[in-house]
Formats: sequence, C-alpha cells, structure tokens
Amino acid sequence: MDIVLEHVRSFARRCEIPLRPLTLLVGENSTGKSTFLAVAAAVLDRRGFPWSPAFNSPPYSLGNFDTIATYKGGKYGRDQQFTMGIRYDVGEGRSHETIATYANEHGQVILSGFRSCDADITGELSLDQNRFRFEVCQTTDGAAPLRADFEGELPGAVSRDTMLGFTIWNQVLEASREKEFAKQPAFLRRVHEVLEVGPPFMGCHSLAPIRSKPRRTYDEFSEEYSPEGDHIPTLIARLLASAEKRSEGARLRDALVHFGQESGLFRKLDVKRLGKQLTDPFQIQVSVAGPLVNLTDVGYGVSQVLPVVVQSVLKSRHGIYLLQQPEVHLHPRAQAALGTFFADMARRGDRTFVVETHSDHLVDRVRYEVAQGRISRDRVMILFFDKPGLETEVTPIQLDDQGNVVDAPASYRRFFLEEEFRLFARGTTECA
Amino acid sequence: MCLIVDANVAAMTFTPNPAPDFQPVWDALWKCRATAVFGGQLAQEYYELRRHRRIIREMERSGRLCRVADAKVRDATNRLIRSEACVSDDEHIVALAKVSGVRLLCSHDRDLHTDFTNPRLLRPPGHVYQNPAHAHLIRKFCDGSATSRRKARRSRKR
Repeated sequence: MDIVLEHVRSFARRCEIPLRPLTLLVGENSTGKSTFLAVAAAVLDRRGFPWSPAFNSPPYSLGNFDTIATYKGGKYGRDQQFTMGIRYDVGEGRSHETIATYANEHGQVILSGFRSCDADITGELSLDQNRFRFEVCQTTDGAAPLRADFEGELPGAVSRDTMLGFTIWNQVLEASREKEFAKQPAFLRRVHEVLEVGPPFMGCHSLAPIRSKPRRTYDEFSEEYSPEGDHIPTLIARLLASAEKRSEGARLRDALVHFGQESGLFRKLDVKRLGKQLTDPFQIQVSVAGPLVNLTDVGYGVSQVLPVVVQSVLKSRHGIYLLQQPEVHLHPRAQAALGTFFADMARRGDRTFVVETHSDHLVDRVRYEVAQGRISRDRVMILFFDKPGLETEVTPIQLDDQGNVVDAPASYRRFFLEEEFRLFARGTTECA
Repeated sequence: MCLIVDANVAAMTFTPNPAPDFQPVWDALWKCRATAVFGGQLAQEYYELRRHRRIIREMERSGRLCRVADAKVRDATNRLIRSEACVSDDEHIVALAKVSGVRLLCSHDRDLHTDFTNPRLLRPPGHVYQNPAHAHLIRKFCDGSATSRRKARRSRKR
C-alpha cells in the first residue's frame, strides 16, 4: 500500500510512501511524521475520502486550506492545490488507486477532482464551480477501449461530501440511458465502482500520543472509540467479565498478562466491580509484584500503554493502526517489549501498524525479531523523515534477514553518531 | 556491504579523529558510501573495544556496519581451520569475506594480507587497504554500492 501526498505542508513534492504490515516512522520533531499520519488517516477513511476527508478528526488537526497547502515563501506564496491519495493491491495482480486534488474556497478545503484507477478502468472527475465532468475509460485485451464522458450541473444545495458522489452517479445513470453502453450493465457497474472509490478498508484506528489519565474508579460507560483511549477501561471491564475460554475476553487477558510480564509492567490485571450489576462502577487493578492495587497506584506507563495493547489485540478491530509514540512513559524494557508485541501482531497478517516512534529500544527489538526470523523482513519497513531545508524527504529503509539497516541515507541517525563522538571525546586532549 | 575493518585497525578507524591512514575509510562510512561488515569472532573483537563500543553500536544502528550471521561465519571459520590453509591466525576474517562476499579488507596484519589475497582461499581474491594510496580500492569496491543503489532506485521510481 502506498500513501500519496503532494503540496501538503512540508511535502512540497510528490511523495509515494509505502506501508508494510509494520512500518516505523522515525525522524526528528517537525519533520512531517504526524502530518503523514493525518493524511494516511484521511485517505483511509472511506466515509470521507475523497469527497470530504476528515482533516481535523481527532487526534489530528491539519486545520484549513492555509495550514495544509505548502507555503513556499516569498513570491511563490502558497500552493493553489494539494493532492493526496492511496494505492493498494486488491489481489490477483490488480491494484487500485485514488488520487484526489483539493483547492481553496474561502479558506475551506474543497475537492476539485480525483483520478481513480481500478485494474482495467480509469475514471477522472473534475469539478469547477457547479459543474462536473466525469470521464471513464475501460480497456480490455483485444478490444477497443470503452469510453464515456459525462458532464452536468450540480444542484446548488449539494455540498461537496459523499452526497456529491451519489448526485453525480444519478446524473451518470440518467445520461447513460441515452448512450449505447446502457445495455452493458458490467461496464456501468465498473463505472459505479470507480465513482464510489474502491472496496472498503477494514478500518483505520488512530491512537493519540498522550492517552487519557487513569482514574481510581470508572463510573461512565462508553465503548465509543476515542483516540485517547477513554473507551478502553469500559472495554476491558466488559471483556474480562467473560469467563468463557476462547472468548475475546480470554484472549485479551492472555495478551495483557503476556505483555505485562514481558515488559515488566505488571503480572496480572483484573477488574474490581463495586456492585453486582455490569453497570456498577468498577476499578482496574494490577499486580506488579504483590497483591492487586489500583491502576492509579502504579507507574503512569501502565495506563498509557493499555490502550495500545488492548486496541491492537481485539479480534474485531483488525485493520490499520496509526499509533503516535506508543512508548511514552515506558521504561526501555517495556519499549523493547512493545517492539516484540508489534512484530507479533504484524506477523499475523490481518492488521497493519504504522508506528511513529522516537524509541531506539523499540526499533532495535523489531530488528532483533527480524534477525530471529519471528517476522519476515518483507513485513517491516522504517520510514525515515528528514527535513534538510523546507521540504520533507521520506526515505524508506529496509531491513535484511539479519535485521541490518540497508541503504540508509547518510543523515539517518547522524545526530546519534555525533553525540557518541562528543561523549567519546570527553576528557581527551583534543576536546579540552 | 563492501569492506571489512579488522579489529587491529577498528579503534583507529571508528573514532571522531581517525588515523590519517584510515581517514578515507571513515569518510566513506560516514557518508554511507561504504558499509562495513562484521560477525562471528570479529563481532566479539569489536565488543571488546570497550571505549568504542557505543560508537560501533551506533554505526550498526545507522546501517554503516552490517552484521553477518555468526553461525555462518563460525562454520566457515571452522572449515578453514580444519584445512590449515591459512598463514595467519585470522581465519575468521577470511571466513567473513567468504560468507559476505566482501573483498576489501582494512588491516595492518601482514599474514592476513597474504591470506586475504590468496586466490586459493578467496575466489575472487581480496584486496587490502592500508593507507590513502589505496583509496582507489574504496572507490572501486564501495562507491558502486549504497549510494548508487539509492540513486538507481530513485531514478526507477521517476
């Protein structure tokens, strides 16, 4: 899968950034990692993309057109349009691609057109004021390509969101009755697919870099997804209440205990209900070395990592996970254990983890897992974000079978090496 | 992967102020034009360079040093020891070259030079870098590696 972006903040030039089941985003602050995650979340959200992507859906906040489009400075000013999109395999050697362009309307971001390719068919939509033009071309082996152009006017009341897609589709249907391919339902079905933009994704879940504070007692019950993990305690309470073997609760308990022990964070985790009903308040308790104690009475790192682990192991939540600094507040041992955890989850194949991290311990552990053969090197990638000037450069760095970093640019980890030199030179005469 | 830095010169290469003889090697590593390989006994020897350990670890993290599977190097070393074909006692370096395919060595060990350039031990035979007069070897064996691969990849993308 590739995420495409151009003229988005510091991504001035077109970047086609590949994702693997475990993709680690590394680089200094303000090099574009979070912008990339925000764009990835926007294009992976099928409800909004490409018609009206959620640029400001928590935990991301890209702002309005002026804060999204690249500002080149001086006489070059701000770009008039920006582009984002996605390309992915749909099996049998076929791939799907949707690249959309957005423009400025009174500071707001509006769709100005998109190009969508799905194997043999390509559709191009362009919007100008209240008019649209939609061109489709299907190529089949040995036959002349099937082409169709649709033009029309949009009702003034139609906003440029998903409804716009339906409006255009209706006009396409009406217009096609007069055209010869009305008798070709297969072609019309493909046109619809292109306009609807591809098959649905399994879901995209973003977790914020700072998760919600632990509470001594939980008395509000909501399982509605929250990027800060507000829903996690309720989820844990419900799932761990199930005593059935092989239930999702049992799997969650096993995963939590396993991770807790590997990371040294806790040996046991349980829910203490303050009543007999499922709706009664409850407390989350953990045991680090001795008896169970309240979640608020142990290290802050435990409550911060729980949303990461719980959200990732839920069977029903397969899809793409965009995680920002899952290692915050964790000791290096726990950071390393997170590396193993992600490698283990990414190996399974039904979920993709895009992890923005500043943790060497996490990255080192992933490399170790590759060297141990516990995850294939093909399933892991490091994306190095660098900003030598005003523009972000993203370098995909691969690992070999031994977990070695392959073909990294000279700027990759240059600071760390220079820092080691400074430490090395301490006390030497040259330094003095 | 394009060169091996023997432990006897590693301390004067992997430092902020490398010895003049090894400045070109260090420059190539620093600019990621070259990647040095290590593994097996050489990894242990690097580990014993206590003052340089953190630098070596960081070079490995940044992709300037590349680890080769210890087991493969050990097996190749044992075969060389059994064959008694080496003049030096650095069979592990020749073994590392065999396993990794690297044919450029930085070393001050005369006996090892003999082994490394012996076509009966290494085919094709290796070359030895000792001082800046041998800088052409770095260009020959290293400049064709990382940088050009990156360039080729970029141009393919375009």
